Amino acid sequence: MFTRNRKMQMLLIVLLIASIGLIGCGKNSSNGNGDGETSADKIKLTIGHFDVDENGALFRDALEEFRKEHPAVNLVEEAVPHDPYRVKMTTLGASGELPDLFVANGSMLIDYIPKGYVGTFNEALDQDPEWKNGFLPNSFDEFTTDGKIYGVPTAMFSVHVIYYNKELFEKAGIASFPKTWEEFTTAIHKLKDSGVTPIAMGNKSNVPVGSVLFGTLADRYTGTDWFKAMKEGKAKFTDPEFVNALKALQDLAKMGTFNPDINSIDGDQARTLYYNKQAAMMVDGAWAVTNISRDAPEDVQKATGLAILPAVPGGKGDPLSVAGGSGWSLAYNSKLTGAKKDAAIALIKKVSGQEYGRKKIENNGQPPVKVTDYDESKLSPLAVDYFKLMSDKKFSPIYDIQLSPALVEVIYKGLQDLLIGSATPEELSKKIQTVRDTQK
Amino acid sequence: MSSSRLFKLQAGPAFRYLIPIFCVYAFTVLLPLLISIYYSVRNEGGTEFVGLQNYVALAKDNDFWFSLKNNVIIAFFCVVGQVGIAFLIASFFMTKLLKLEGLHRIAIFLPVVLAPIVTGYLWSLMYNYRLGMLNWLLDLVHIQPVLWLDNPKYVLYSVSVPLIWQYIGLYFIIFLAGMQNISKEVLEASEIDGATWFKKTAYVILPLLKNVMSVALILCITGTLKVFDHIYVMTGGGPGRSSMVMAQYAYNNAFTMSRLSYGSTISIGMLILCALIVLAMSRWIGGGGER
Repeated sequence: MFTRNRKMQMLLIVLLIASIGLIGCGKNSSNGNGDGETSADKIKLTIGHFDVDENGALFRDALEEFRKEHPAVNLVEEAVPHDPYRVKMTTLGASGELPDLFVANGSMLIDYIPKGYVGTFNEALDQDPEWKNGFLPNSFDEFTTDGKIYGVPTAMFSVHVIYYNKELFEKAGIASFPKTWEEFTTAIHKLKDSGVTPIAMGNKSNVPVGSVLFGTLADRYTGTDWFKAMKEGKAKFTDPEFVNALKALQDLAKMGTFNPDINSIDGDQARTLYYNKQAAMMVDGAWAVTNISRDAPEDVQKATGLAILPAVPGGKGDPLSVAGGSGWSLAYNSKLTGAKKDAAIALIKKVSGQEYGRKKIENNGQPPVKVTDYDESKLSPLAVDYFKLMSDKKFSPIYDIQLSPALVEVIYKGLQDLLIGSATPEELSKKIQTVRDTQK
Repeated sequence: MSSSRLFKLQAGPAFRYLIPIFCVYAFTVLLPLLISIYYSVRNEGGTEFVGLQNYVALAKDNDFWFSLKNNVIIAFFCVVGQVGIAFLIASFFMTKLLKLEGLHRIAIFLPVVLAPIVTGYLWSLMYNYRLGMLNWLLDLVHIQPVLWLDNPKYVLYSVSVPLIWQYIGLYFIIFLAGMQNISKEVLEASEIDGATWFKKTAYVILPLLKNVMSVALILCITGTLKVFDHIYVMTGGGPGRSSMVMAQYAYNNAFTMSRLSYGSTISIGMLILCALIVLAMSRWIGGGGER
């Protein structure tokens, strides 16, 4: 009996190791971009991006054009949708197997720069002043460390816009979009009484609430100076301003502001609620202008107005600021040299120059470059409204782009806990600060 | 003991035949495991050796113990659900009442061959607040719709159900094979003695299936302690951390938070805890048999 038990135990332990050992180590797959050497005379260039949906058609067209103009370059796309793209890039970043060119946000760059994975643009930008001066002011901020520029912005936009349905507002007895926080909460109650969901959001992946709503809400309370001080380690997440912002979000959730299934649906499903007039407001990034102009029923499109969060009582932030900025950039692998590097820079110029910017703006996009002569008639009415709304606004930091991935995950996952009421603002702020303390 | 010439002659070739599979095993299992251990004793970025610092952090990590608790709860439901229900169904198959045996067997086994991701998506559709089948059924009998995956109070049960549903078939097949191995004479003898279905199952089949049962229990517990795919698809550990399990926590740390060494530490911690639990289980089951 004893020996049999021993055998059984040994067998089990071996089985266990076999089964569990696989989990932690899924990263050893080589992604096939290491062997991208020049085959004879063609230069092979890999590019990682997430412009796979209809919003990205313009980018893909530009890549196609680049292929025609540079027949000597064999451009290989490694494209996956946005959410898996972020996961994929963190994984590739952990193993150092990044593509030659890739779309990266500030948070990714914070991760890659100390590891020496990304090349700098200073030289290329200085050589081409026309290109350099075409960009909007501050558009390089998120991608610059110690004066070195590691990424060229692909767009510059606000990640926070409130899209609201004027008809539903009128039905609930609200004349115009609320100007103060008190009016805002009253409006939410009125909308609820009229039988619609006040705000529709889809937060399954954690990111939406944190990125498009909380970033701006927090800035209303803390002000951008607090954020800068926090990054330097002079301010803490346990400061009352930040805790108040968390409280405000939890209060909104308790009021029944959001659709009850907020944490189990994604952004597309939330947009559907808005399109079906089941929700009066939707908080989303500027990119939703394109989505609404394309997918929403005509009457909803016409009834849609744009706004931003009103000022909060006692808030230190500028009520005319919204979380936004360049967000995403194109970066290149520091391993590139010679002809490969030249081709990479040429491609990046192609998708960040004036010409591309003009096309982008005419497709209701938000380019990072100053575009002077575009055809306004090609824009959807919503896009015109958007540019009008943004004309007097300032950009405040986007949390998930300026902070390290670990901190972002803790904050955003914690926001879900707040929304369902399983954590208090004080507890959460302490937890966030603990993670902040483990970083230098 | 068996140091006969014959045995020695056979052992050599046998081991040689095992070399290829051992190489594969070493490459796919042992090597990654060792790399994981290596990562877990280095700092983030892997630049310097930090000793057991990560493990100390892990022992203090509230979220890790919370996800272990969730894992244990899910494992409990799965033991009761998968092994329990599978045993019941298998014992129904031993009665003569059942018609269309083959069809039932296929229907019960079918979910086992589905990919976990598919099961996860299917069930998240069923659980959907607005369009899901479950809320539609509740609506028919005029009950308020339930937030299956959003309410922290039910989410752990909601994610256990697909797990149970999917793997009943596996244990069912194991039990059925075990039951068919019980000699007919014993069962007939009990029937002649006037045992009802319940008595026959509880006092004859169950004790005779003890070994099969212990294998099933061990498989079930190890299987659910490392559950990942279903939960990743349905909730991703959310809302908040309500349905967080150890594997998901390791994944989040390694891949979303870019903390590879801490993620590795969690996996090794998982390995140790699972080994302990399974060791305790097998002691307990083995100890029962010696009485």
